[in-house]
Amino acid sequence: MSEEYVSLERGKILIVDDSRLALRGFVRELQEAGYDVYGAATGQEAISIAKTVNLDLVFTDLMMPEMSGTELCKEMKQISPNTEVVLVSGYPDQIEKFKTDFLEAGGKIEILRKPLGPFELKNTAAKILKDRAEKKK
Amino acid sequence: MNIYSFVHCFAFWVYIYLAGFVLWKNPKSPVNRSCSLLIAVFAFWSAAIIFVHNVNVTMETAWLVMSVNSVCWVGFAILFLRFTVIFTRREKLCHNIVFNALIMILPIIFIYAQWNRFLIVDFVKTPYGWFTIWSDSLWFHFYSIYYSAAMLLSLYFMFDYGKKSTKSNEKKQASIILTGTIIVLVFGSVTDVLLPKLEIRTVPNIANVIGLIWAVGLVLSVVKYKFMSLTPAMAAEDIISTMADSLLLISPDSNILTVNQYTLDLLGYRKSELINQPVSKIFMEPKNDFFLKSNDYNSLRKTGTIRNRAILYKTKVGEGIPVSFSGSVMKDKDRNLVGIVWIARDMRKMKGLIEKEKKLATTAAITKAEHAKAAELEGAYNALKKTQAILVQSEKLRALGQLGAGVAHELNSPLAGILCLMRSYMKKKEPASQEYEDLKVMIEGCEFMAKIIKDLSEFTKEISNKFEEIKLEDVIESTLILVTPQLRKNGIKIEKEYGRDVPLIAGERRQIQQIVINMVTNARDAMEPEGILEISTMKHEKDGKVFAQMIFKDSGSGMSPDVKDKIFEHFFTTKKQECGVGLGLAIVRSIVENHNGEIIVKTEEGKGTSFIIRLPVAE
Repeated sequence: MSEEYVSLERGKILIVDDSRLALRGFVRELQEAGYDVYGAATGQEAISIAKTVNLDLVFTDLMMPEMSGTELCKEMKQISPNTEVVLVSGYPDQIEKFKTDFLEAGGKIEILRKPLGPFELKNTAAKILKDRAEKKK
Repeated sequence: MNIYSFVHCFAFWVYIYLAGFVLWKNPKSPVNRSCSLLIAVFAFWSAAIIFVHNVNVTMETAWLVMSVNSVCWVGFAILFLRFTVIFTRREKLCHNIVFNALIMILPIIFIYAQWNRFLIVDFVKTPYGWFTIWSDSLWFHFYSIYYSAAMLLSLYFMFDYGKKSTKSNEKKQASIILTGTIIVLVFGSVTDVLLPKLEIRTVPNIANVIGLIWAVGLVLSVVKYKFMSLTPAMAAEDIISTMADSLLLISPDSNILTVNQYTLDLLGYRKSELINQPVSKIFMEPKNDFFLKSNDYNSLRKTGTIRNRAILYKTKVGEGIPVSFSGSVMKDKDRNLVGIVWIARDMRKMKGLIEKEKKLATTAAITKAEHAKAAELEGAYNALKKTQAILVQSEKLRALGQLGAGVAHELNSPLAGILCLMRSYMKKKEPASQEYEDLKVMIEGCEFMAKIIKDLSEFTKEISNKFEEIKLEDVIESTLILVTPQLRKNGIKIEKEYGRDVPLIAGERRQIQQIVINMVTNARDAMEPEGILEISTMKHEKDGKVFAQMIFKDSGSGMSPDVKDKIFEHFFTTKKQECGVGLGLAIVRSIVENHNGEIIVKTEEGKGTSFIIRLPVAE
């Protein structure tokens, strides 16, 4: 990672991961970068949060019980079309396999492969939020 | 000397030349020997006529010459029969005592008859020399029967040989000899027998001159016989029709264009049942298009060849036949795919053969030669078993790898969390404190685990096989950008030499990149600081196939033969623990194999190691 993005505004980010440890780690990293961070261990939890909070960005795992990342992405886009959804996964094979479905569901192509390098998550978050802000203008 | 004797003189020398030529071509072959003798006899027959067609020769001389020469003109018919028998490979007749006695005795009888002047009874002087008058006695009729019988039998043998032979060149030979003989017989009978009989004496005996056509045809046939059977183009048709392997020609849209007889016999189909049918009809696969979508088939279409892969044929009644197949694509001059040549061998045959030979080897009464043969087959059998064991082993390893990769993926998420949290804590600690150092080491440990997981998943990853045309130089350059900082840190210099005529290869870019990364990392770990890594590319040709070749040569300490044997094994490493887990070269090898390429290691202890990687060119 060559440069570190700095968040310009306090974006609202939701992280969805069925691994409690991963969830906690990601939440911590983004909180320290200065974002409003929410965590959800299941798709249902994620949806209930999305219904109450106006989210800017969602990082989701791909393989989760009950609801897959792709399904969650579809639901998210229905609730709030302007929320960006980004895939974070530990399965390179499945990333390849579900890439098209995920993109069709409106997800972002910024695909992160676990485990992440230092700054990877917050840099990606900053970049997406910046692009989004520019698009709005 | 008049024109006729001059022509015969010319014919004599041509015959002598032809007889010598055919003998010189292959002195040991019975066919060539009998052909040479036959033409030599014809030559001396012509020589006699040089004298007879000469006005200055006395009648007594003509008598003497023709009687002495009866050895030739009587013997000719029987020699031609003998030649035909040898040429058409009628071995039984060749060794038949009655036949051999007959062809010895009959000519002697007629030569004896001629010495007593029973056949040629007189000579008449004409402007061109002496004209032969044949007898009207029974002797002459017997002689005619003898002569006709020998010639007709020869013609029949030759005709039969041409008809029964399946080889195109043999058919051609038979027809050349047949045509030549018939022309000469017809003309010869008219000029030498019919006209004299009708007392028309204006035309001299010129059969021997016309015979030149026949003799040249004969020699060509005999001499070329050998060459023809050696020329691949001439023999191709024969090979296809007689080969004991299954051969298919497949169209670009995967239909069967043609099949050989063996395939039809093997599968129990008629030709019309397979032509223009999808090739999947003959495969035992759950889904019809399984094979057409397989990696083997795709790599065949992309790289041009595929060798010794296993598949199940399906017979008409639904029985499965294990075959080992190889294929290659044919392209027209504009490099468009025009078809695929497919050859498959029935593996049951192989198995049956080996078992049969083994049984044979156990019986007591076997000769030494059979022992040797059995030993050879035993060796082949053991090699086959060994290969099978390796296959099973690699299959097991693959399953184990997949399982391992599955477990490893499960570790990814917690590991990601641990890393994030530890990085967060580390930031809050004083850089010199003990907690800071502890966390740093813990993070490094986690990163090492992550690397193992990544290597494992690379290794077991489904290979996408989206092959494209790749210039090795480009891949090397783009990859070196990534790894150069690391090399610089280790004080290692890179020397590059790219060949100018290196062809493009058909490959998957990411995989080729992986080869370069692994080779460079490997070289880095093998060398002390100040080491030099030489990277070169060049064109390589082997057995008529063109490869693009990359060489990675390091100035490290080389390897002992022991180590060299193991380097491609999974989890084999001589590196320090933090450097790697021993999958790098195994990954390189599996990528190279997936590209139908080869990897060669040259190493000498103390002098460094070269890895030579050859990848087939893009078609």
